Amino acid sequence: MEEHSQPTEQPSVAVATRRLGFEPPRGVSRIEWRSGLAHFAIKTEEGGRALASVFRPLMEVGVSVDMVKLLPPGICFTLFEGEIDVTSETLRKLGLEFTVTPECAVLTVYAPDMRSLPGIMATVVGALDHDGVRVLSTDDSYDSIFCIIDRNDGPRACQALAKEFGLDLKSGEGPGVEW
Amino acid sequence: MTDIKPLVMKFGGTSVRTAEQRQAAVRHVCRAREAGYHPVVVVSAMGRKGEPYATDTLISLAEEIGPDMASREKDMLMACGEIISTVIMAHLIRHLGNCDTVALSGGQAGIVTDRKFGAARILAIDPTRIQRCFRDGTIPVVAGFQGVTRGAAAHEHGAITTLGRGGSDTTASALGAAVHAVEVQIFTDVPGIMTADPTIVPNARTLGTITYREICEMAHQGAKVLHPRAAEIAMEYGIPLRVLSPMGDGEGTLIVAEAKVDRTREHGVTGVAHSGAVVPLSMRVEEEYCKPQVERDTLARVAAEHISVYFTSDTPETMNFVVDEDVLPTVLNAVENVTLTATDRDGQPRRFRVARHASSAAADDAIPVQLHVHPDCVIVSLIGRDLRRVPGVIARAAEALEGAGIKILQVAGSSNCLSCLIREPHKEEAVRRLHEKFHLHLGDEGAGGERPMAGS
Repeated sequence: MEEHSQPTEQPSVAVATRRLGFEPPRGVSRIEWRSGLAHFAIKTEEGGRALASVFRPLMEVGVSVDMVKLLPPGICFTLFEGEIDVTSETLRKLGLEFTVTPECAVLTVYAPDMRSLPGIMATVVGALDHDGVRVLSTDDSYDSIFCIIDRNDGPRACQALAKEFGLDLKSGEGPGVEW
Repeated sequence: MTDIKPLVMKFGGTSVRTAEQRQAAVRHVCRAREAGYHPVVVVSAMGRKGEPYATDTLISLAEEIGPDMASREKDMLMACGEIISTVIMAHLIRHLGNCDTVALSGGQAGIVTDRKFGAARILAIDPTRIQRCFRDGTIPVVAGFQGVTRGAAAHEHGAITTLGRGGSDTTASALGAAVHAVEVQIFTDVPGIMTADPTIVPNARTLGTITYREICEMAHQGAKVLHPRAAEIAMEYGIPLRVLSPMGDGEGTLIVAEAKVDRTREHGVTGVAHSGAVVPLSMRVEEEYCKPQVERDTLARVAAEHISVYFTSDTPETMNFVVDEDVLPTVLNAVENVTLTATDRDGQPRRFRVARHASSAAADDAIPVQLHVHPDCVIVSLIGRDLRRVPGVIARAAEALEGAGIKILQVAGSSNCLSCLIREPHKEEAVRRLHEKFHLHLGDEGAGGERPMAGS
């Protein structure tokens, strides 16, 4: 059986340090947070609004949005903080009512084979709530869960999840990773 | 060992089903050998359910007796299909190829697993036996989908295990990593990885190259071409994979690391995948302070039924997720009309009741949490690279779908995927519209690289 550390150069990152087999590990193997994001929430009329009518103008000014969510009563998404001004101006021109939450971070919980391991989302939600970390939005892919949080909660969130999943925290008080 | 060029060649069940297909497989093996490669052949059981040696047929023999078969014995039975296939293929290669072969079970090939019968994980591979074949000039033919546990003592043999879904792909990829193969070739019943399901999009085309992450994402989003576990092992150990058909001389699709794929397409989209039937569920918890506790307990109840949720989208007041349609009754049974207790800001206990109907929710004076269920949905996904960094992917996808009158109900994404939840009746139109919008019928990715022994 092989046992070794997985290398990481990034601060405030929690990783699995034990490798027990030939195959990549199952379950949560890495947690990291990255700051430098802003969260936008657009209020739309009942029945929603065509997404293209919002995102085409943003595309034309070169803004790349992420973590788009359609939630009554509107559309939420994140983008880089450096794009707040151009985005706000574009949305105002469209006559849209919106709020911006700057200084956000995305917390990423990386768990290969997550779909065959039910319960990871429940554990993430419970651990963050227990440590008082408010989640603005979530998203997921086949091997990751993403949570948008206040950037000041980044180290605490990382610590809470590292403890919950038994990972080795490389630098709990670090500044996180800037995009 | 410097002159050794191991080439793992895996033939799936549908590639070794008939005598003609088996002979075509042998021709590929012989050509590789003549071209100076050292083939390691991995085979699946022959054919599909109903055919005499298919794994499902063997299992049905035992199930006729009763459903309570011991998992250890079930794995022994399930491993038989591949053993039969291995012996037949080794015999055929020896006859048609005029060369020495040796049939090996997974355990004999050195694959050691944990004891999780039915879904074992590979702990280690000892490639000594296969490497001896390289030196002897013998072609090893290995049974896919299986391994063996370590014996409890030195004089004991371990138990036969099976690797679970996609197990033969996993065997091939793992052996490729263990012997440092120049390439792992997965022969299957399609010419390669396609830009979309060709039964929906007639001008879908075979991709020359695709990255490990893209193929993993594509498989998880519903494409049934290669098990993601095989791709994850290949990615971990840096072994190129190739998916191709044994019938003909097509190059198939080469699966490699991102750095080795050269594409000029500005939007980064590679293909379109679609899921089976899914059901989104949403709940709104009016007490924001208590919402994470209600969510945690709700999701934990679903997880206790061994069901994964995905496509999650939370806000401080709402929780939304998707489950596969076939597990919906189990999910509803786990969460509906259940009273959950949470602690409010003042430390006082509050009771919440999840229900689809307000009258049910209010039945025991608990705070109602209205559950909304939306059946008849599917997920269509754009697969690609660096999608988060490319402005306009969501805008173009929305134009394609909304332009066809298809309402997007929810969105999820990652660097390699943008998924849209839509109503099921729009599935095929949505796949076609997205394929057309991103011009996926036009190829512009880099060539797949020369296939070992191609044209020889």
